[in-house]
Amino acid sequence: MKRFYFEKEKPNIEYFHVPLSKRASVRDVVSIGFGLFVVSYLFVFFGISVTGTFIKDPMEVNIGAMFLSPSLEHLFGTDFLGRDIFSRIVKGTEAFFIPGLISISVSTTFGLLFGIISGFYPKYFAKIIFFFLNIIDSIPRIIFILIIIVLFNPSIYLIMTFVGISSIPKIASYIKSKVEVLKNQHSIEAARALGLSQWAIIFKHIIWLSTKPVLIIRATLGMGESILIETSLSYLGIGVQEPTPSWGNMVAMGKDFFFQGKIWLSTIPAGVILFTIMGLYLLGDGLNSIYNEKVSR
Amino acid sequence: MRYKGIIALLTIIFVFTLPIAVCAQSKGGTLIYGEYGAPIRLVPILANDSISVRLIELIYGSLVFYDTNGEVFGDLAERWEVSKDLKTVTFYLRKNVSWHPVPGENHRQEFTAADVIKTFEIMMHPNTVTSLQSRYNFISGVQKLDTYTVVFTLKKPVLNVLGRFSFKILPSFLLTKISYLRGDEDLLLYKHPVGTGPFIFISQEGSSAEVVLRANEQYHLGTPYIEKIIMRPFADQNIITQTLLYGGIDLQVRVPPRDISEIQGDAQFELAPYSTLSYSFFGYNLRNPVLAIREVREAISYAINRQEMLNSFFEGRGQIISGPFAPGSWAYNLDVKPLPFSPSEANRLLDRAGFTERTKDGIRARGSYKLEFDMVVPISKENETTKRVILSFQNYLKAVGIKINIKWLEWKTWTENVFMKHDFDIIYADWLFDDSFDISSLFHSREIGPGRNNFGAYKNPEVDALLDESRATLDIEKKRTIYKKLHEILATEAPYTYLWTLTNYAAYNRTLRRVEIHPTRFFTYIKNWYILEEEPKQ
Amino acid sequence: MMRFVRIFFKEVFNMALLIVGVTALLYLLFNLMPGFFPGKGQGVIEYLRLLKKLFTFQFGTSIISGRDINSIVFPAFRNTLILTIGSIFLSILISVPIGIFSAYRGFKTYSWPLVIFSYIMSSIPVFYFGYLVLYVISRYTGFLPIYYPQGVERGNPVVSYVLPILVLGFGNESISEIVRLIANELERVMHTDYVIASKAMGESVLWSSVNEGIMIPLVSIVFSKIPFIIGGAVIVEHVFNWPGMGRLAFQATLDRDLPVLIVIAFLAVLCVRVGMILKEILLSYINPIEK
Repeated sequence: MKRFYFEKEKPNIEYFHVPLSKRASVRDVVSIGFGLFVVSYLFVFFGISVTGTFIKDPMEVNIGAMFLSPSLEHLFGTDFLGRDIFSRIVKGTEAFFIPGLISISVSTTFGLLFGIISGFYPKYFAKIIFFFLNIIDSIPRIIFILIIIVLFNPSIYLIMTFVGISSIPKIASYIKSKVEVLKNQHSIEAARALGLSQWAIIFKHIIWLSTKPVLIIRATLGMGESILIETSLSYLGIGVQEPTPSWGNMVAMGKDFFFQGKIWLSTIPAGVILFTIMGLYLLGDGLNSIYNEKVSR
Repeated sequence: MRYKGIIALLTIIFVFTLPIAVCAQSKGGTLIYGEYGAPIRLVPILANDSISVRLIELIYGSLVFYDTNGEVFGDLAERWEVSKDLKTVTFYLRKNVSWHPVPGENHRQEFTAADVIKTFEIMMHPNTVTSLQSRYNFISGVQKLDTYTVVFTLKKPVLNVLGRFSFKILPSFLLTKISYLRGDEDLLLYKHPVGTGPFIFISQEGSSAEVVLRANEQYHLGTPYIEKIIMRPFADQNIITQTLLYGGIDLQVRVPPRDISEIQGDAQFELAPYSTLSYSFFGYNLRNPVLAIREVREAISYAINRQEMLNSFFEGRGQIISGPFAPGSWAYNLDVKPLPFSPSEANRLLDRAGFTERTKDGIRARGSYKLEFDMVVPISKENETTKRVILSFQNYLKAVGIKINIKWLEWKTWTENVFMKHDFDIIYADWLFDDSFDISSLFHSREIGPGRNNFGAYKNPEVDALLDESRATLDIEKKRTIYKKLHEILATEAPYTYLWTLTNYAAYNRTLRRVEIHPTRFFTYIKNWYILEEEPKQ
Repeated sequence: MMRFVRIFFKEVFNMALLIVGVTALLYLLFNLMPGFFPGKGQGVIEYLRLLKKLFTFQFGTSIISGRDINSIVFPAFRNTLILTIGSIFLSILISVPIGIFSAYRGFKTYSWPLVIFSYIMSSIPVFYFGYLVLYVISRYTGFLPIYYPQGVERGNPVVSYVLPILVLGFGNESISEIVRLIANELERVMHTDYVIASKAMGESVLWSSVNEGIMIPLVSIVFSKIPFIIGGAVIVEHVFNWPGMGRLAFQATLDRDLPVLIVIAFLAVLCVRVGMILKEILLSYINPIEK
């Protein structure tokens, strides 16, 4: 309807696809920008540590130069064996990068798989699957990981696999509920309108709709989670072991000298962890608010 | 003044008694001390971790013990007699010693010879899970002469045998149907220890909560001054020191080296050094053919800079050793000097052993044998000095072309790997000794095998003969000579690389007085300690 | 009424099944490791006997320390509950307002710093935060508020309770989780038809959406945190020397104390399932509409 005589008549199309420039707010841009910055330096660090092109050797022990505070020569100072902390932080990305990816992929793949199967067959498969998932869900996660580590002495990759496994139940139940809702909507329509051949498209459509929100959030959250879990394990002494550097075991190393005033030993790695996880969260948030359907724009 | 003399006399008496009155030790007060970790089991015979042992020292008594001067002191035994042929030892037990009250009962049982007999029987029973049997198998049997007399017969004459009867005595009336202890029985003694020592067990809530003891007013050696002792287990070593500094606990049993200067700087606290008879070392598995070559082991000893490690990681508080004994003990041979730090000498020795080729990583090799070793380390509670020593070790050896792969294993897995499966090349550990310094279980060839202490499979017939001779001899001078020779041989042969003996420090609040610490048992003199009530004048 | 009873029995049956599952898993794990401790249970018969003991709540004695498991586990349980429930309260107190705030379209820019704050809190390693707090407090106030069960005259019990709860409340990852969840759910609900309809009729948007938007997610989050409530505070318990279940479980694992671990797992499953039942009941009261 025209409100004024000079207004053009706009065609009454329902826009489902809102262009990017309209969807993104300043906040989202900042979040994503920051997040991408974090991801990029992670990749750079990972690349450096994998190819070994350090400026200072992260493993080089130098007893004469222990506990130096940050300076031009040692950007972040030296640790309890005289090793350069900055290079160790760069190398520390190796310790959680791939294990974190493993954790995320295990939890999302199996979470999606179990969730979708349970969603489509809630009577039969769901009961069995959820019985096993509930077993995993009932044991507190840290205790579960502790038991696995103490008994089997696994490498960090295996530990992260189990961390991923312990996250499966939540994702599976979330996906299952989403799939059930969507399935009912679409199945009624489908039964009314078209024939059997449309089932495959609906199948894919449901899966895509239900998994999209999960993937982004899970990926970023999962990475952050794995860093923090590794840090807690290092505090207890069973995380990534020396001499391999990891951000967690650097914070743990620094804690022994914390009360004597050498705060930077712990603070710098903790600060790096903070910065990185924040970046990942913000990235996930920003992407989520852009790509996932929000009614309020 | 007619009464001048009397007044003078009274004044003199008053003046002389005044210091005595002021110095009278105050009774009462609570001592809270902190330990890193929790006690596993508060039962003698079964317990072998230091935290439990310290608590057991407070609760239980033994027949005799060695005091700090090396003299034998009678605890539950009043007098003793050793027969001329040194094969019979008779103990005359103290009378009127009462056991601690059992919860729920009012009266206290009396300590008699039956307790000694029962304890000994349980200790030596083959099913009992303890390592004490090898220590006491020089005793062939014990007999009760009357209610207060026991006679031990020995298999063969033993030198200085009295001090060896330092095992703790258990109450027989609580063990009436038991002939051996495995640790998983449902015994009152496990839940509520009952002993004859200076302090009585009150409670232990939870397993990571505190142990509360109160003074035994009927203690036969004199009532302790301190009224209550509380042991607080901590999960974090740094927090113990902080809690001490802020008054949460009064005594820290073992201060980690990094915190010593902080406590030293605070005038309110006192540091008490005590040396346990222990030393640290790197041990080698001679089953590995490369490590069986003596030059390789010697080269490793030359390649590491022990003084630098001691100075940087332990602030120099300790002493480098050259052989398998603690320095300052009668067995240590002062003529054998520790090897200096000399990488060039190490390189020379390795070249001489034939490891002249280098792989592309810089590791020395000889044919198909590489100088690459697996070092297994226990993750037994976070310990930064262990990590530093091991990583420096790795670093020093890298400089001479030896590669060390470090494998961190959890404590029980480590014990199994080292003592049972012998699946290792090098380990870093320490040994803790009693005063007899009997090292035969470490180096004698018959001690090779699963579960035994010669984990490195060191075999030397000369050493075997010397060890056997030293156990058989009664002449202390001869024993000293034999030990000096052993020191020489074992230093040259280097089945271990001997590192150092550390000085341990306990830290306590200055309100705690007359603190005397026994080097191996810590709380032996607890009944003399007391707590000052008011603030000491600065 | 019959419906409730039927649900109740079904849930109890599920719970029993789950307990069997969990304990079997633990038992299997420990028995896969050969030769660890003396007198370990052999085979299925021991396992069945163990089950019988558990279900009759006779927990027996620990094989490592020889002490009564009851006297070990229940005090630790009580201590941990104080810590974790207090911290969840705190987390909710902090994060729900932030979530509500950030769901309103107009307030998004103003609430963003708070959201950032909640993200920062969730990204700090917990033990580092604890150390930092202890450092600052001890240097600035001259005393160290660590929990003293005995010897209470040595410290201030109130403060020593508050501090770990504070650290755990801020430092566990729940804050960002709750903020995100509340923000998303509330926003979604605020734009559903019935809420817009009630807004048109003059009711406040917040009040009409509060049931579905806030209470339901909150209830689900709190009840999903039950495993955390039982054993998740391991780190804080270590730092503040709090004698709780997390520390107990860790110590038991290191000592290979299987009876204690099985009892802890048993209690955990019990609480989780009971929590689930309670959650279902609560949800059906809050939201009578079939979702």
